[in-house]
Amino acid sequence: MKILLITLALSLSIGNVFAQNILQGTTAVTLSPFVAATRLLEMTTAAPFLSTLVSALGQSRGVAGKEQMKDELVGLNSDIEAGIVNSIGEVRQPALKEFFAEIAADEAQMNNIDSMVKNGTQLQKIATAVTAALLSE
Amino acid sequence: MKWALLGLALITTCSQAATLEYKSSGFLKGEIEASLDILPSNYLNSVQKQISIDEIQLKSDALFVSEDLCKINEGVKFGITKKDKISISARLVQLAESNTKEFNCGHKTFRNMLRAVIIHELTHVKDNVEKISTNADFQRIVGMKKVQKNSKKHLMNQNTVSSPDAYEFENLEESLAVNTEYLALDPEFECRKPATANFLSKKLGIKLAGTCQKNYKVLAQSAFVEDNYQLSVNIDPKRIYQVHYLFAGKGQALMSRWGHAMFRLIVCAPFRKTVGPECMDDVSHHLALSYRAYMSDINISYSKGMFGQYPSQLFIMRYLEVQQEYTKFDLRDLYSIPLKLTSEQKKDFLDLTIERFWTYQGRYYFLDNNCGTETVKHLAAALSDDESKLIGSITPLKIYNDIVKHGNDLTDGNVDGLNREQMISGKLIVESMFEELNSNYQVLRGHLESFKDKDFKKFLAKTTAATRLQDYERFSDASTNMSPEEKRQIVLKLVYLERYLASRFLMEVPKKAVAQMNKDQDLKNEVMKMGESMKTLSIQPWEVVSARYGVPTAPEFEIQYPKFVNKRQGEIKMSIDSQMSNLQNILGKKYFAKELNELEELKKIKKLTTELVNQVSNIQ
Repeated sequence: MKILLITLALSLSIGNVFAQNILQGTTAVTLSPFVAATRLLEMTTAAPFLSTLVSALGQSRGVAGKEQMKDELVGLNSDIEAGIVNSIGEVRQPALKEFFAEIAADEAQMNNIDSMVKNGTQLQKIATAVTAALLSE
Repeated sequence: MKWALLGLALITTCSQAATLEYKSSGFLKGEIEASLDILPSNYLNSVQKQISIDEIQLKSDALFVSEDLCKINEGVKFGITKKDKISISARLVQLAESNTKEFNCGHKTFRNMLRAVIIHELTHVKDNVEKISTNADFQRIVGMKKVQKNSKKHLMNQNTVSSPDAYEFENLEESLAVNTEYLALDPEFECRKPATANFLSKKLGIKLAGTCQKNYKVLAQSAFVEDNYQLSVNIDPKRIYQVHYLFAGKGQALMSRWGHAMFRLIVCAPFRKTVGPECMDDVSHHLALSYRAYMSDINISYSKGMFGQYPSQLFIMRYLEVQQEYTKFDLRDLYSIPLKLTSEQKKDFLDLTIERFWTYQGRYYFLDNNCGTETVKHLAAALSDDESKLIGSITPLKIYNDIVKHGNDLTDGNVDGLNREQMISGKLIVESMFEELNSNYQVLRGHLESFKDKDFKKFLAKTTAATRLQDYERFSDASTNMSPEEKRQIVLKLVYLERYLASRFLMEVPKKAVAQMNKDQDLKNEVMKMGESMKTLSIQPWEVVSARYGVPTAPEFEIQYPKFVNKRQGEIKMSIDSQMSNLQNILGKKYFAKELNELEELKKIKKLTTELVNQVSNIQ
């Protein structure tokens, strides 16, 4: 099931060009967190941070909470792709919105994310990191 | 001293009220005086009669041989009340005077026990006049199946482990008398049984001591073994924004035809300084309160459910787990309706919640003591009498209708008359995932041969991984000329659908194992072993934290709970390993050839869809 989930997440990717844009600093017009997340997973420096994020997720959300977020990734990706959602306050998926807001309020977490995801809005950066964390499980 | 005591003479408690008469030694006389001092001066005002209190050799004194308060033989009576005549065990009076040792149970000393007996028996006399034990709210709090007029009816709650004295379950009268003893004598009672204490304090005029610190921490239970009891949540009324009536729509199973009634607590995240509407965003902190049958059997027995052989308990779970359970796995809508509660009502509701969580184990009857009736009783105990009369229904849907009815004014904001879309946009309904899955399916129908049924449910009933795999292979070949955007959309939808289908399949395997187990002794053994392994993790809240009685105090909780969590980690790992081994053995049986084949095909689907995903990811 976990593997299927990863497949699902990957299936939402648009194209590697966007991922490269996010990670290499080029401004992308539309950013898919899934594409960026798959690239993030390939970065060895990202591993410890993602592991910490996953652990925090498990402790605070439990199995069902994580499943809920995974289910919500689909809609979030569509919303971001469609340009409907541009900030955390606009996120329509409740479990993800809450988690994103928690991360945004945590300076240490944001510093880590900023160092790994160079470009994009705060929402895009956090969405990328959380997607990667959920995929890395 | 509030009471005039004249030895053998009649004692008038106040001019128009009861008179007390007793023939007793100096010691008992002093203890009666001390007991009366604890009670309000008007305690017996309603009793317009003469009450006699005598120290006598009761028949059961012959059994009363132990001098250990914690080892009193069954059948020993400390006092008896017949109408207005109270008889106190002479043996108890003697021990109260001579044995000053402190014990680790009940009222701790024989002297306190004697005072408790005096208060207990006087309460019976008062109750005979005032009929407090048949008060509807009292019955709802202490746990009756239905509100009774007969005070001799047994209580449904029989959780002796969490009780200060199991005699409280004998009947309503005894429940009143036992709990009054503790209210009067134990300053911790109001923290250990807060709902009962609040009710009795108001009804009997016994002031709460206010010296203990109420512990509002509860434990989140979970169907996932790794999460069960791993989270403690503080449900202090100050941290709860709202209480919602949480209603799951009609389900497919026999027992869920009427829907499921629950509550949702809008718990504010710990970082919030203020409690308000913003707490609606803190979904991972929200809790669901759900009365359910406690089933430790691997197999559900309808007859046991019909005849009350499963315990009925209040389960506290993370809200998101309940949302997943209903909207995803059962494909049912979830209604979350904010209740209009005053701060006092909210506190009463939460006091009952902690008391129920740590002490209640009734009996679940599918028909007349189920989630609906338990939920109504819980809510009604917090509402005013006039308000609770407005919820006359017992099925979850009808309860929902009673609650949302505009004229009843039970909701925070008018919900009556809103259409489905308005309720969804107002976050009053969390939609079943069915529509989303169905819309994906309908798009796929135009591209995949085996997706020909218009009705998604029919497709779900018939589809196999093997046929879908063939479809996907054909699609993979045929899609080379498809526009990249269209292909990406289709791949996205089919993988989304596959994730659901795989989880649905995995949920069904254990059910089939149970259904087949009687065909094969080996299989049965494996299923039973699996059940046993799960049972070792099946534990009650009062086994996680063992309180003196009732709700654990903060020190009891803070010492025991961390130890439990540490110990639990190892047990969980062992149980999961053991269950996986059982599952492998089960799937190796001939009856599960189809399931094994399905698993193999699902793996192939996974491989193929991964390739498809890579293809669409590389579309520039």
